[in-house]
This record gives sequence, C-alpha cells and structure tokens, in this order.
Amino acid sequence: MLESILNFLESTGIARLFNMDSGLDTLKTIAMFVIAFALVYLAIVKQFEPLLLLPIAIGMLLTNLPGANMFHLDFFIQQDISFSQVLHDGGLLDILYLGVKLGIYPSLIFIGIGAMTDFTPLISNPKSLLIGAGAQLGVFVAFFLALASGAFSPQEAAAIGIIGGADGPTAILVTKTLAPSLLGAIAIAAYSYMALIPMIQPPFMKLFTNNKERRIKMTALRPVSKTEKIIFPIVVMFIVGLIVPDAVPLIGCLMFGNLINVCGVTDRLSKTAQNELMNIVTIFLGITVGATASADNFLKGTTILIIVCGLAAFCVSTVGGLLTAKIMNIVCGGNAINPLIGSAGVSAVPMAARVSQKVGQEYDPSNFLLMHAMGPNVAGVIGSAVAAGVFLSWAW
Amino acid sequence: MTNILLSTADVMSFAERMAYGLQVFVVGLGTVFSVLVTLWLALILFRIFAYDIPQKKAKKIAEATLNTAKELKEETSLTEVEEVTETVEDDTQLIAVITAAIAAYSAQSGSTLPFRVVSYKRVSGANGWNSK
Repeated sequence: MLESILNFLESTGIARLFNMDSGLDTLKTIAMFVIAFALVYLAIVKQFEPLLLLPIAIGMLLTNLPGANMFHLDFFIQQDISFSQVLHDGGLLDILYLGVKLGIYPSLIFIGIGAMTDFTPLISNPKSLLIGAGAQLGVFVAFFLALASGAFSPQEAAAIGIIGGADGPTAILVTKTLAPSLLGAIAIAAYSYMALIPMIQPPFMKLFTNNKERRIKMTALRPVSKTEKIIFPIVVMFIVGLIVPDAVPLIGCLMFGNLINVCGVTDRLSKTAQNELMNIVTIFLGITVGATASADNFLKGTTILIIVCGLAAFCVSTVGGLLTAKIMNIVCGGNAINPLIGSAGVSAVPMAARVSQKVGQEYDPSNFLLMHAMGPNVAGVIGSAVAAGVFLSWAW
Repeated sequence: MTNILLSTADVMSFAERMAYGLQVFVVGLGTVFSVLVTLWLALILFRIFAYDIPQKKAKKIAEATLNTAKELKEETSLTEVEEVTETVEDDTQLIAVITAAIAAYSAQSGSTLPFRVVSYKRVSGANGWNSK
C-alpha cells in the first residue's frame, strides 16, 4: 500500500519537477511556466494577438509540464521523420504538430487570410506593390545580421530574417523547413512583434517623415471592376508561381482563398475559410508552435539573439517601407503619396494600416489614409511570401 | 537543400559570411522587387483591359444613349407644342360654343346681363347642357 502511494507520488509532476537531472533544469522549467503565464496575461489582459498568443502560451505550458509527454521535438528535428514513431510513441501535440511539419497549417491559414483580404486598394493603386517590396528590406538585413553574428547557420539566419516579414504563417513555414529547433522562439518573437506594432512603428514613422509629408492627402482610389477582382488572384498565382515556385504553398493558397471570396458563386466556401477553417487551424497551429518551446530548446542564449534580430528585422522593414514611399512621393511630384503609408508595407494586416491611419490623423484629423495604406499592407503579404519562397528555394 | 545546420562561425570566416550574406541579400531583395514589379506591370495591363477599355465602351454607349435621348426629347417637345396648340384651339372652340349656349339661354330667360366664360368644368354623368 505504502509502496503504491510512493510510486504514485513519484509519478506526479511535482516530484518529477524536483527530481530532474540538475537543479538548473528545474529552474528552467519554472522559468518556462513564468513565461507561459506572462504570455497568457498579455493575451487575455492586454489583448496582444490573443487568438494566437493564447494557444501558443498554453502549448508552451503543456509541453513543459513534467511527465505529461505531450510533445517530443526530437521526433521532428531529424531530416526524415519516422511517422510510425510519432503515431506509436507520440502525444497529442506530436500528432497535431505533423500539420506544422508538413506545412499544412500555414497554407490553410493563408486560404483563410486570402478569403478575408480585400485586394481592391492594391488593384486600384498598383504602385503600392513597390512599397510592399521595400518593406521586405528588414527580412534580408536581419538575415545578414544573424549570419554575421556567427551564432547561426545560414538556414537559421534565413528563418530569423523572415520575422521581418511580419507574417506569422510565413515565418512558421520557413522555420519548420529550415530551422525546426528555432520554431518556438521565432513564432513567439514574430507574433509578439506583430502585436507590438502600434508601439514599434510610430517613432520610426515620425523620424523618417516631415510635418508636410504627414499631412499629404492622397486622391481617392478608383473603383475596381469585378472582372479585375476575379482575374487578380489567378494572375498573381500564375506569375509568382512561375518565378518563385517555392512560394506557391503560400501565395497559391492566399489567392485561392481570395478567389472563392470575390468570384461571387462560392460564398459558402468563403465563409468556411474565413471562420471555421481559420479558427480550427489557428488553434492547432498556435498550440503546437507553443509546444516547441520546451525549456531546453527555448532558454538558450540564441533565443535572446533571435529576439534582438527579430526586432531589428521589424524596425528595418518599417524604415524600408517608409523610405520607399518617401522616394515614390518625391518622384511623383512631392504631393501624391503620404509616406506614412510606407510603414504598412510590413504585412501584419490590418494592424499596420491602422497605425498609418492613426498617425496620419494625429497631424490632420480630416486625412483618411486607411484605404491607401491597405494597398502596401496586402502587397507586404505577397512580398513576404515571395521572400519566404526565395529562402526556401535557396541552395543552402 | 542539404539541411545540415552548422553554425557559420565553425565553417566560414567573417569575410566569407559577409560575402555570402551580401549575395543572398542582393539576390533575395532583387527577386522580391522583380516579382512585385512584374505584378505591378500586370496590374497596369489589368487597368487597361479590364477597366479603361470597358469604361470607354460604357462611356460611348452612354453618350450614344444620351444623344438618342436628346433627339427623342427634341421630337417629343415639338409634338407636345403642336398638341398644346391643338388643345388651346380646341378650348377656344369649346368656350365659344359654351358662350353661345349661355347667351342663347339668357336670351330665352330675358336676361341682358353681360357675361364672360372664365372657366368651365365638365360634370360627370349626364351632360345637362347638351343632353337634348
């Protein structure tokens, strides 16, 4: 009887927590609990990207509970995954993680994003594409910095760089392919910075524009015909697919989602993609990505470097978009493009566009930049997917 | 892709890392710009074929319809003038007949008071003054 009770007590999480290989491991696990609770707080109380940050935080908590054995990162780091091992020895999160590892969730999320995105401002003002391209500067600068640090392999540097694209699913797709061991840190950094956009971007927006530029009122966008809206996703899919085939899992799904929304004959599919599909996949993606943040894997010096490089990527991308918009404004005569819309070039739809609108209205309450900023914003989604395609197709 | 993750400090010198990073930077950003510029050009073609040309066609059709409408309106207004004149003529004749009828009735009843028909109103049902 006593032996049974002792066995039971030894099997508890508390006993396992304090009977780890070293005291440091125990401290690391406790630190992960603290981080997970902090993320739960940020998600629920501060409402920082709660739809993703909350599942990520809970995934992080579940994976670090001693003895729960819900997730084994070792199964997935090796080049060839043993599916039988995952199915026989894996926990619930291992099985769900297959959707990340096989690149299923990011693509499905992109179908939902496509169905929810209105590309009209971009079709109406195609110059916005240049701003979206300029805002990818941070991706490659961060890659360069991470590589220069000497702490990361080129693949890991690429995964870190893609944080600058400000697009969670894209960052996850690149990281699960190029540097799966960094997935937790990169996903958390990417989503945290996306949530912090209203704090990160305005200082740069004010620094790189002058008072006159911030007050520029842009002319109204032309109306877009239904034919244009329908042809647009097909053409983008086709052109991007021919130039960067590795971007097709993202761009193809994004444009498919948009097509079922605009064509007008598949409303049921569009509603499902925007709601049920998106929500289900978000739960699976968030919880499994969070699960990769085990104490051993997350609490390393490189995580701090990832967070620093990620922040640099975000800031440089913002500056890249602003400078591109500024140059375009000069070329167009100095009163055609409000450079504040440049910061929206970092995808993060629609948060970045809202920030442009808000900062613009601080200087002229009658200035409405939201629709103008949506153009670079959705161009940024395409741009970051193309940048991801470049990294995925690079012969490392 | 080899997928072998080695820290670059182990296999590359700082100068090599810089050169490699620069290479990826230039090719990568260049590719992003070229793809998005291609899309930009495609959208310009979109505007021409899916917006400007249909707009012009619609404008032409609208102009043609407007011209036809104007012509029709002019013809209609001429007809209306004729009809109005006819109506006026008809009224004059009618007033003359009514005046004559009243005068005849007044003469019959012995009244010599002068009168002028200012307006008239048809009474529904049997026409009292011309029913016989």
